Amino acid sequence: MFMNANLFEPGKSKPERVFVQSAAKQNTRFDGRKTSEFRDVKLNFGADWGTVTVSMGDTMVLAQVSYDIGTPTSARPNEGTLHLNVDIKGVSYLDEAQATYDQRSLTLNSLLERTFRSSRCLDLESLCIAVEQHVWCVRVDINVLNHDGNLYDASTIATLAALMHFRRPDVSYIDDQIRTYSERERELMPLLFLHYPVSVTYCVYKSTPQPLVDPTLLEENAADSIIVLSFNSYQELCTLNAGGTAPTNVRTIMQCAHSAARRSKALVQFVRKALELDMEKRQQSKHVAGLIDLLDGSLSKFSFKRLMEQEQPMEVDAVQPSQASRAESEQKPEKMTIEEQSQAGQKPAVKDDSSWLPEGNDVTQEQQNTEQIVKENAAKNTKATKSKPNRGKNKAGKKQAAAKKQNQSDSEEEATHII
Amino acid sequence: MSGRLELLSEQGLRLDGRRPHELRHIKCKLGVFEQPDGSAYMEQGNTKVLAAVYGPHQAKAKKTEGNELIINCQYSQATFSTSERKNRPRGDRKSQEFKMYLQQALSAAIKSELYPRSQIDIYVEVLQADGANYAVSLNAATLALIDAGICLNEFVVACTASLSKSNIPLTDISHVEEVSGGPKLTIAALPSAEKIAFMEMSERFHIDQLETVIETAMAGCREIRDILEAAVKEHLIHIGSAADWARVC
Repeated sequence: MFMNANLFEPGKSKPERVFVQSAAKQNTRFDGRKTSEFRDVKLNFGADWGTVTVSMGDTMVLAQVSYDIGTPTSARPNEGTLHLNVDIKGVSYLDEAQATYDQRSLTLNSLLERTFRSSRCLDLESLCIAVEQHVWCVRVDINVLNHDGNLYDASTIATLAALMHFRRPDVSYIDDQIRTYSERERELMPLLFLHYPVSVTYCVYKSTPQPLVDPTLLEENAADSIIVLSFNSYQELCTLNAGGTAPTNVRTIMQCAHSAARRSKALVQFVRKALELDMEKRQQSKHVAGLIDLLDGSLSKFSFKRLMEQEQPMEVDAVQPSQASRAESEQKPEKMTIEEQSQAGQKPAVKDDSSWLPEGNDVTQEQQNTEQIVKENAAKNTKATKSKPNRGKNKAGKKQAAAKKQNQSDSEEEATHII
Repeated sequence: MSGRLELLSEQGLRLDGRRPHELRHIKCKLGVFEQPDGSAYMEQGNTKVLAAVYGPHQAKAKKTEGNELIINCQYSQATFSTSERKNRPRGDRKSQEFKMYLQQALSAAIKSELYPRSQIDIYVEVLQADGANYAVSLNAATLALIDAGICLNEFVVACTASLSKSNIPLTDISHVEEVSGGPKLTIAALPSAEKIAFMEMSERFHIDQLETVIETAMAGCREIRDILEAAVKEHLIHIGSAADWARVC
């Protein structure tokens, strides 16, 4: 053991702290990022359902979902269980003292617990086989493979992606007999979600009012306080944790909250997209990556930057819906004129939106067309625009068929909300 | 959520008859023990907490990290504090967590530059748990620190807040309200500076409500601060009365 082993970890010594503080004051970071810039998130799925690695810079986390049939608790006899466990022994070389190790695993465990369990992100009632007798017990094991700051975000993304990727076998319960069906007999079933939470982490320094997002280990250790916020894609706050030696004010927290809400939305979109691409890949070829491939850097991974680049217009859409819709209608003028011409004869008649649409049109076009129509005869169709939620527009932009499944659970979530 | 109870009646009263912005009744006393350097007892509704402070004293050589002050906290909950007997008073995940959060909030309040190479031990014991355990523990710890004569930047006080189904913010939630499934936000604040030393939240609500809920909790903190301040003044008059301080005030 080192005499002053705390110096072993970056960011614990005083000169380092002073250095990071002064750099933060000048809005510079050591890896050249801006204060509000994230590291690229890379996602990779393993051969088994529910095996995911997530890397953000040098931070790497492996999440693995396992399942079992067990008995429910007496307090909730009709609900399955979700158990989360974080293992940070992989980076225990950092913790020379038991206290720091305890603290780290404690905060991480409690964050995950609150993000996924107390916010009730899984529909646990759907995991019930027979009330008071048999339920599915889902367990997520999160292994930290390397720690370069922001374990919080990496592990929540990994947990969410693993749970969304996970498939369980179908089961039937007849005459007190449980029968599980193998993959060949019946298709495997995904878990049902009520909402999709992801966390975003900020570091606050005494020297500057501007918080740093997605800190590295050096920045995290030198920080005066750390703010972790979990949001789901509907901008609902699921977990919040802020604390440290430097008190923060309400404004900083609100500022973080707003940007975290946007970031979470984009992250969930990214995870969905990566899942879809993974499904396509699975259907095409039989070879899928094993554990070694997962940890190896050579394999092509789903990168946030690359995947979300194409989504850029959609993100704009999310921020400023009015502008984006204007841009959309501007893009489409030629098409519309053609359609207008073809329909010139029928125009005066009051039409059902769907009746005149050519079949096989994808959802996006349908939406754009309706928008155009709305502009033309605004008075007639105001109802249609009002009932169309903003959120729906974003989703419609996604053309993948697989997205439909997710949308279903989305609407379910909305329904529960209203209740 | 379907399983969630409505926390407000039609008349706008809560389960225990309080109005949404009303705190529970607070009773506190400083200097309840002779042996420790500082101690305090605090009652907020049915939540009852004892706190004791030892120090500042010389830190153990092993622990010193440069010149810094070590704040050592212990949170324990009596086995008889809950309706179902607890197996052990401390060491479980929840109390470990609370202990850490106490440390965080107190380190933001104590003027640590005045106590280099020293250590302050704070022991908190929850005698009866009826919601907002962390908040009441922190308030008791603050009083005990004041009783021990340790320099603070300001009173650090904590308060909880929740949100009823009809989006009306509630201050200082009790155990029944806690378990009925609403969101729970705990803030430890330095009320005069309007700074937040520690904040924790679970369950979920929309971002638009966040600011109002934080504001409610902060207002609760300010109210509690006034009560604690009055208690400290009264205590000082009381112990000083032997030297005729009471007449001077």
